[in-house]
Amino acid sequence: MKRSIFIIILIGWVNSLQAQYFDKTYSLALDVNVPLSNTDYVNKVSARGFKLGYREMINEKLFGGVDFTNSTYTKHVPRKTYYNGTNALTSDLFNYVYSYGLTLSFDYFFSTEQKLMPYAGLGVGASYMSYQQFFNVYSNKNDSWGVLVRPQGGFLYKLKEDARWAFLAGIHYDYSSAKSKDFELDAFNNLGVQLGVIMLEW
Amino acid sequence: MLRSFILMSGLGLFLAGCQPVPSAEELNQDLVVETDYDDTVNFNNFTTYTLTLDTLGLISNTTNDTLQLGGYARDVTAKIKANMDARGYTYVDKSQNPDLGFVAFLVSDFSVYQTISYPSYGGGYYSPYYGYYYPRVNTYASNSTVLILQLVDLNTKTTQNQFRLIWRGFIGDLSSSVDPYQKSVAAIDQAFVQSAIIGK
Repeated sequence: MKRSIFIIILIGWVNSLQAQYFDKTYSLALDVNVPLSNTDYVNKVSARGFKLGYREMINEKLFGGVDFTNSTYTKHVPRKTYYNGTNALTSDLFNYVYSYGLTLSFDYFFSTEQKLMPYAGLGVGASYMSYQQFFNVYSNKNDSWGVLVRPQGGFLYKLKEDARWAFLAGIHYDYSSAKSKDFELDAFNNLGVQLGVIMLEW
Repeated sequence: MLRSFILMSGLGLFLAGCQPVPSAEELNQDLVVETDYDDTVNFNNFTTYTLTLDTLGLISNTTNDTLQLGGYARDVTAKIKANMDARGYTYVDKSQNPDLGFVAFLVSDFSVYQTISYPSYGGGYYSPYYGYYYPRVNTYASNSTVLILQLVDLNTKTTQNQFRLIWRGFIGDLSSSVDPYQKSVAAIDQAFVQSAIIGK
């Protein structure tokens, strides 16, 4: 008798779990990016970037929210002489681009109630780029704003089906229209890979 | 719990990763050498020059001295003379009506400045819960030194009755760079290398 009651309770509990859908997510990911444009100015892989994300369920498979991203691109140009009319300057240069993005993002999950949950999405928002050039104790700076468009895709992986958190792995392509007039740099494109964790809340 | 972890980790990552800068050791390995010249001047037209050997001018807000003497001044002026001689000009004493005057001096600036901020929520100075917020004072100090080289045409005066500046060079920063003594002396060669216009 006791065993039957236990089994009934267990089945009921499992059923209630299966009926639960997460409706909010919070994510934090390491964001590793490679610049695809302006590579004369910056060419190193940005390994110190990150992404913070928040989503709310629109329907069972579609989630919308915001992403905040940051990455830093660099390049060291060895010492050389630059001529500009009558002026000449000799120095080595440390070129930096500090990139910040805030996007309204939507992700479509191809499945939501399994351990592996692949998704594809799109983010559109604002991009702030701070272009800086350091040489000795001197520096030049040029900041600009632009539109950021970010198609993205990846998957979440839960160790257990009822887990409240999952691993996140994704890939994204960013287009930012934030150019630099002073450094004569064009729109900024980059390819990124994100690895992190995501909290599923219901 | 996990949400707090994510938010705190995100804040930590933001503070650690948002604006890394090159290290001072990387930045200050070599001096910056910048030169400019008057392109209306024919440097071939000059034959002689003068230079105060063993002495540099000094403009500083930390000392009343106006001259820098000693080994550094001797090495700097010797290097300038070697380069001017190599470009075909003849060194003469200033009493011998030279065509050009070479001036070298150091500009040293030591600055201290402070900012005062009132940490508060909502911009107010007084909190009914925590009382007064005391102002936070941040003090910054910076020290920079630049070696300035100038070449003037002693045969021509400007409308302000000053000798005409026809070439200049800046070498910096001597205060924060690694081995500024040797590197600034060597940088004088670079100032001439990037100024092929100077010469007979």
